[in-house]
Amino acid sequence: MKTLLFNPFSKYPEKTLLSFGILATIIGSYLAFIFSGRFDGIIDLHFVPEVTLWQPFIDNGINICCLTILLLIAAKYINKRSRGIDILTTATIARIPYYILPLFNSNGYILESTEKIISMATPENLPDLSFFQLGGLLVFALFTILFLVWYMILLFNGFKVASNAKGPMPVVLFVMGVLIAEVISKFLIFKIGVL
Amino acid sequence: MKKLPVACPSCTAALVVSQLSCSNCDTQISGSYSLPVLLQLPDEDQDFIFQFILTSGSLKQMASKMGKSYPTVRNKLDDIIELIEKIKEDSI
Repeated sequence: MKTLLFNPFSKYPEKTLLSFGILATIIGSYLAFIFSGRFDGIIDLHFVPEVTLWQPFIDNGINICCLTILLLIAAKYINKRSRGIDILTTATIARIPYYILPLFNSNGYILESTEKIISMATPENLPDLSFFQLGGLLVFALFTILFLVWYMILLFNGFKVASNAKGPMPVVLFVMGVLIAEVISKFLIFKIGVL
Repeated sequence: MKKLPVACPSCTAALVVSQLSCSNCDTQISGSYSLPVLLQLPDEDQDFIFQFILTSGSLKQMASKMGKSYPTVRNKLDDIIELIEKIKEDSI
């Protein structure tokens, strides 16, 4: 069970994983459309008032491409035999925990609660949130952190298997790859959004 | 089956073969013969190499047989190659 949840890349064939990852990406993108979520960066999820059908698909496409390219460059630097398909599989599978998060915005719950907090964030106004709204936000925040950690564990384990990484240097390259991919993905998603 | 020791239990240096005997005519041969590189590898690595040969060098088949992914098997092969190169280097 531990292998399945945190390092499926060491056991399962890449074609099986890639097929599963692509299917999860399609379902995750559709869920984001239903629950008004935007994956506007490789480690970002924001809820907005309106989302068109194609936007989450484009978001995830850009995120996966950015992750794959940057992590492949890092993997090739470590081990020239690293394969693109293994990194692509890693990028699609690792994002699965994030695809669950839009479900929390059922009926616009999270969006409404966060907008309320933002509108009341002045010294004169006291927060007027109900216990359930505040509790719900805290639960969402906790799950977001947990799923982000799970996402990064999957991503790093996949990267390690794909590149046969050993020692501290791959960790540095991995972090740099993720940070650069985040910047590039946010830029591209923003640019496409204003077109 | 007895396990062939390859490293000295006292100082961990590589062991060499100093005596061979014939079980048919009791002839004994003394000398100093280095162990072949293959025998200096851990048992697990030797098994891996045999599997590699038995699957005609197909890592894909090996992965399927071992219940591991292709990159995992590929990484294992790379590690063994690195170890063999290290053993050869140490023996010069």
